[in-house]
Amino acid sequence: MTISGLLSYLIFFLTFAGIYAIMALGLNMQRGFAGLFNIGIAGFWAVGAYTAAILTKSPSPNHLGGFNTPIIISLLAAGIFSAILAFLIGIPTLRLREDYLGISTIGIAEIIRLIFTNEAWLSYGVRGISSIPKPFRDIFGQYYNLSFLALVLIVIAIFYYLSEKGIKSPWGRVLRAIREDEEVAKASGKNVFRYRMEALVFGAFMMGVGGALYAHFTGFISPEAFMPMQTTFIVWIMLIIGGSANNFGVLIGAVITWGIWTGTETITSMLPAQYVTQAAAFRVILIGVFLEIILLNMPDGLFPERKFKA
Amino acid sequence: MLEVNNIRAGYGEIEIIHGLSLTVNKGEIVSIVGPNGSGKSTFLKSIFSLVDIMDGQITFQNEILNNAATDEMIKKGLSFVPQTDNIFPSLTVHENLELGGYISRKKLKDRLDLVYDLFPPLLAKKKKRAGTLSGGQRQMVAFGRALIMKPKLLLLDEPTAGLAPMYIQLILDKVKAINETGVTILMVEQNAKKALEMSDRGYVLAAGVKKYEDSGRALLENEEVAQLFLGG
Amino acid sequence: MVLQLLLNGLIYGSIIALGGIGLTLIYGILNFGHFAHGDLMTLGAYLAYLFTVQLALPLPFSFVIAGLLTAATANLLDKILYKKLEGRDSVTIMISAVGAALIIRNLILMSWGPQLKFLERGIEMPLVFFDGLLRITRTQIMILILSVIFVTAVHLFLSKTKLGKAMRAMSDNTALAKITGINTERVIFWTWFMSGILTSSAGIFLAMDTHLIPEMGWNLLLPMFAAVILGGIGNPYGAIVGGLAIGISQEISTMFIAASYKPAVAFAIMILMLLVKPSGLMGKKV
Repeated sequence: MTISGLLSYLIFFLTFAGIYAIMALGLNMQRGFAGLFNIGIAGFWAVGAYTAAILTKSPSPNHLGGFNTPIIISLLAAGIFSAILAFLIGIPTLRLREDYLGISTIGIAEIIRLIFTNEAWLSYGVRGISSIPKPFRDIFGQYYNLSFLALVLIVIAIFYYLSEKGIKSPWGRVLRAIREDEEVAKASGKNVFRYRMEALVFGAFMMGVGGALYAHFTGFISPEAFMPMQTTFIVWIMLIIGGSANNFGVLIGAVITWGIWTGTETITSMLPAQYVTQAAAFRVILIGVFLEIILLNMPDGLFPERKFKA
Repeated sequence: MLEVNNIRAGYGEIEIIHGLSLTVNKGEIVSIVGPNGSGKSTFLKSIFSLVDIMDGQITFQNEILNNAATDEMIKKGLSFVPQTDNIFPSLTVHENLELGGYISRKKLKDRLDLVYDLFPPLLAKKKKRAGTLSGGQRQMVAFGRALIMKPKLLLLDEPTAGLAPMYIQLILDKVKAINETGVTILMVEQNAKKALEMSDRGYVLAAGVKKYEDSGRALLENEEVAQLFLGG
Repeated sequence: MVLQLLLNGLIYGSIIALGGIGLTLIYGILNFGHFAHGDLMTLGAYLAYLFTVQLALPLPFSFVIAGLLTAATANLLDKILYKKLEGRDSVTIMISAVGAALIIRNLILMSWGPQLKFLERGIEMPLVFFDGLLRITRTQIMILILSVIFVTAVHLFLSKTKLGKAMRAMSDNTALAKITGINTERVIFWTWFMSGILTSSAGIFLAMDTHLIPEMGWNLLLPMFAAVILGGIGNPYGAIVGGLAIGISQEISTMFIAASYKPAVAFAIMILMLLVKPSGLMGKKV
């Protein structure tokens, strides 16, 4: 591999790792800081991706679209739609114990998949949406991938900044207090439901934006492309290995996990073609076992939660 | 029968009981009273190893009891009735009582008869789900479940907590009746006056330490105790 | 039409109910949602496929062996994962269950591939009643009869035996069960064991009625959870009623909405329940 080939692979790798890192930051807001159990990440991701695809594309006879919105609007809209979805799912579940949210997020991810699969007018069904615009391609030309990586990094920086700022504020302190002891927080007059909802919605917003970036970068999305459990699971591993409730750790966790995940692909891709299904399954088993080992042996991940002054 | 020697106990690293001693003799009713947050329930729980014991010694019939397994304590003749959630609500009254005999089924029938004799209202409701009973009857189920284990010493954590006033005296009378069948009783009680009236001896706790220790009558007559802890 | 849908719903509902009994008991006793339950169901079905079709052993024998092996897997998961994570927050335990689910499903995918498989070869001619209004195969009749037998056996076990009562007691109030001297470790072991047998049976019934795919159990997880929540967490009788209700609703719903949205019905019922009465129709835990 030449230097430039290596470099372009690195850019490609970091872009994907970065998009996943955005999802992981979103999950960290929900799970890390607020203790919320979201295992329907793929659903929020898909809503973001489809929103962006439908908004930015030029008219197509196959599905809804033709709005030609600029990317900045599509990113925001993707976040907002994902946030609305989170809001709706939060209403019946956030007053109850954490499991209900988990079960409901699986349900919502499944329903979203059903909608994008069955409603051809909206999303062209299983055939998916292709030729999603690549922003600034004309301006940056051969440096397009690099410019996209820059965009991803900017988004990460913004979310990282907002997360850190939020979590160090009085709002964040209450959030963590609720996570530690709901009853005590309630007794001191905090509206537990509202704080949780805000964390859930903010996290979902990030996930929606991450989904939009994914759609723009790959140029193609379909209900099958999301592999709901696999996608969700990888984001969870990023969070757990990096260290729940530590944004910096989560970013590192994202890069490490994505490295391991793509690394296993490199290995299994050497297998003969007839084993492709087995190889894919084997990769999931590997990261599954990996997760369990981390859970059992490294409860706090690589970077434990920092203690903030009360 | 029960000797607690200079015990320190609490939750995790938080010490709530700072060196308490207590004695219960066979056949007695002994009450532990004190204001909210005095650690009286924690103290009772420490005897049954339900909280972390950091120091001190508990002996029951001259055997060390510290951190004993629950079934071991039950076999030795100790039984604990928690303050809340002390029944299995979706099980019938009869099933609740039967489970008291989980460890040893010997003479279960006799024990059941004894419990139904002590608490006649339960006999009529034996097939009802315990969760549907009134507060007083639930408490009887909880007592009954403990009595099935054929305890020598019964530990009661605030037996009248949350009960309607009409039931309070009834339940305390039942405690007396249980004692008369030969069961020694150590209880923590919110209604300090009523508890001390029926107790052979009493302990007054405050902030995790012992303030007074005397016969029930003497504590009632002690003006200091009356002013500070019995509401004048 | 309605009659046929009712029957289909009853069969589907029995399958959900059988899986749901174990799910709700684990929920009540260990206090977490077991997200690998659906994939244990798949495992049972594929093991039955291995013994019946690949090794050509008699179905009843395969049924029992698959059940035992699934139960052993459930106990293994508890031993190497959930028990070790005891005391950690429930989200950690649940995400480890999600991991276990993915591992089991992909092991199945690796071993048997993604293609549809059938437990029985050939097409079975259904018995026709009421001028074609109701069609039922002998397999379906057998599934219904066996489900009734299983549910009755579970009921007798839970209401007549010491271990069964201890299970219900623990599901009601674990702390009190400990104070009462109930051997909680033993109860937990048998709860996993029984759940394994039941969910494996449910998976085999589903395979007999339809076919095998690696996602079959995962797809039933949501309906099972919905049944458990509908019936009240920790209440095995609630799970049975909930399972039948969900199964029948899903089938009847096809009269009003596209069949492809059938899986959404369980979800909708569950959300409605959470909004109206989160403790379930027959339960109390929230």
